[in-house]
Amino acid sequence: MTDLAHELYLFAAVLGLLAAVGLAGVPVLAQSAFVAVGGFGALRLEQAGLPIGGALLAATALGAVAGALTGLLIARAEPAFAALSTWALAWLAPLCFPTDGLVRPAFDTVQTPFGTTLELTPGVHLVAAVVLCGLAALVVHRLRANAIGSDAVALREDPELARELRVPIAARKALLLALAGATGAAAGAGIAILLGVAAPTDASPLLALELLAAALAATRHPLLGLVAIVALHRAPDLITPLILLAAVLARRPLGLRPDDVVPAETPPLEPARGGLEVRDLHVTRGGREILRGFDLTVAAGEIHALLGPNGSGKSTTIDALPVARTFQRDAGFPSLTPYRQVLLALRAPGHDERVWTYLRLVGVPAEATDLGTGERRLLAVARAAATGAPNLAFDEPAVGMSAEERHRLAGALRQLAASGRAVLIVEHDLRWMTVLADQITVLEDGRAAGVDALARVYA
Amino acid sequence: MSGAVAIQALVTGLATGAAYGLIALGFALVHRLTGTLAFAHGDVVTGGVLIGVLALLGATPIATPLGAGKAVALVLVALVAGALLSVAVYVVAVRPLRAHALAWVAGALAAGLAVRELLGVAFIQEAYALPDPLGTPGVLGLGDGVTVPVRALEVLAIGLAAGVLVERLLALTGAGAVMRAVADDAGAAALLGVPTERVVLAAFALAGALAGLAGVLIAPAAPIGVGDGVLLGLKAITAALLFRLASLPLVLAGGLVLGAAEGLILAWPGLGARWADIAILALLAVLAATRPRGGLAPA
Repeated sequence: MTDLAHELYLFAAVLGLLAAVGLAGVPVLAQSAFVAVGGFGALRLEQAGLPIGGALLAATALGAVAGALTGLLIARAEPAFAALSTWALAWLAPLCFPTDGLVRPAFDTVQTPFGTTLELTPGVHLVAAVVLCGLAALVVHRLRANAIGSDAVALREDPELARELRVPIAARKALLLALAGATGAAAGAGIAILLGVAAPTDASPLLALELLAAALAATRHPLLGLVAIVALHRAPDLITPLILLAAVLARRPLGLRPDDVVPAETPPLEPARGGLEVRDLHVTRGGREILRGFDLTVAAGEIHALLGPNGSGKSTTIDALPVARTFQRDAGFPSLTPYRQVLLALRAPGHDERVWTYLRLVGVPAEATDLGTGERRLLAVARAAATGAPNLAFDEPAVGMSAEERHRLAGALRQLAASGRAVLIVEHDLRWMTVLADQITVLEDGRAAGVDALARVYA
Repeated sequence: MSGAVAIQALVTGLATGAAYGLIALGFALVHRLTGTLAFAHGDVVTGGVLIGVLALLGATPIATPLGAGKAVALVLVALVAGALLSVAVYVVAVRPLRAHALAWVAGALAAGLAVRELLGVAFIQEAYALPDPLGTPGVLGLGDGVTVPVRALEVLAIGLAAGVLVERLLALTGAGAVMRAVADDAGAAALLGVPTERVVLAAFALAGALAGLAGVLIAPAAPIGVGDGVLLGLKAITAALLFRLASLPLVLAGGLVLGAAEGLILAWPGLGARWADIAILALLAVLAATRPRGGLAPA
């Protein structure tokens, strides 16, 4: 019974890790440190005079704070370096706690707030561990349907685009790791009270690796995470690496739960007042001066084409402008439906009917799962527009589009301009631009050249 | 801390740092070529040494003087064992999982654990005092009561020589140019007929051999056990990241700086090994988390 309660506590720590690992793709290796914070924290706080229940809650809060701080620390790190940083923390934690451990009586009888007494038998711990697992699973279940879950998946699948769409990366990582830290610490406190001891060996870095591997297995099915942690806990040490590898192989990208999407009335495109003016723009990259005194004016309601030969600095110009933009590369979040992607760009906390405005603007279905290249690019336009930015820049949006999709794109750009936005488009198709654009700027030698330069550039 | 103690701590620390530099060089090389982090590299260090010891002295080694023949053989076996272990870790646990950081990170760590568990079958004690292939050199008096262990000077010299030699070979030879080509753009290098996978394997083998050499240099200084590799590896990675992986010479320099700092903390009254470990791990947590995005600067 004691073993089972112990393993269920560990499973709760696995579920607490699932959102950070499975949704956001952050390989957190510090979960053993949070378990240690919970175990040592609870016992130390009890020694300081807190009742054990209060000590447990306070230790859980400490774990949440430790997790949030870790999330802020690794906010900008790539996954592998986040793993390295948290792995260092896992090795650091046992050094920070007393080497001989802390003890308290197991099978303790405690006073409940309701005036009764309760003997902390393994059976009681089993119930507590199941409740903790249930709570952790519920939180993950909720995350997999809400905006925070979308943000997490966005962080995993395309961090650059997520940043462009103003996903608060540091805050999201802090939140997901606070969840991991709180569940890890609660589990650690439960284990320490169950066993009557908090020792550094119970929070060894190996535990961090086992919890991460179990969380990877849990991305396939939560119960597989339970199987993994029980197997790791009971198998002989020599087999442990094999179980770890098996758990890693079981992983799959964790997605969101399907939405109950009911098409709503389409509100009209919100008006905006765009306008963009840059003078004497200079940009140097890798010692090469790419823009040298570039001037550009895009008025509200205008579609402005930026033309120029390859490598003339068109994308560099977009990088330097205060606009919402699309990328030349095929960017997007494959695990999110178009509906979710536009919702994410709107930064709406819940469902928002404006999603329909932007989806219908480009004619992409809300729940499509496998979009073609052209439709992904149309969706990129919808995402950029949904940010609400008054100035938009599209970097070769028509690449890979069929004639019909180009027609939809042109319609969308005209509507965006008509709503008062300033629209900048980088394109190679001169004939199309002369039809679509209200203004044309030619980029030559890092400066704006008149339309008469077109003959030279496109000769 | 008196001046004499400080000088001694500094020299001993620099010697350890030279070994860190060798391990870090391998780590940087592997990162440059594959974009992966060699999480099991510390276990390759202890693995190389202990396999050498097992082959030549058996599973219950004692720190007695070695003959010249055995000393050379120990070094060679450690080099080869390190190279083979490093390649094995890559082929078994990293290459099949390379597509996702989540997977290869856990795979590499599992491989490191497998190395420890397998070595643990033969080496059951917590730690072993190993014989020193450099013999028993004694101390060198510098006057004014200042003495430094000759062993530290030898380790420093050998470690630096090996590190600089490898760095120069990579910078100046055709093989080095091929490695840099694969590091810069593996796809383009493959189109030009470079056998990129073989180059990557060679880099892992070189990294493993450097780890084996570092292990032989570092192991006799203090009792060493199967479980000590991870921390050793993390310290070497800290050294590699100290100057942001900017270039291979800076990786070697990072080893020396970290070793010297560690030596001073070890000798500082009231501090010691625990605080040295805490300081280095905390530094690593910050350095790894704040590493600037994007790959290495070109060599």
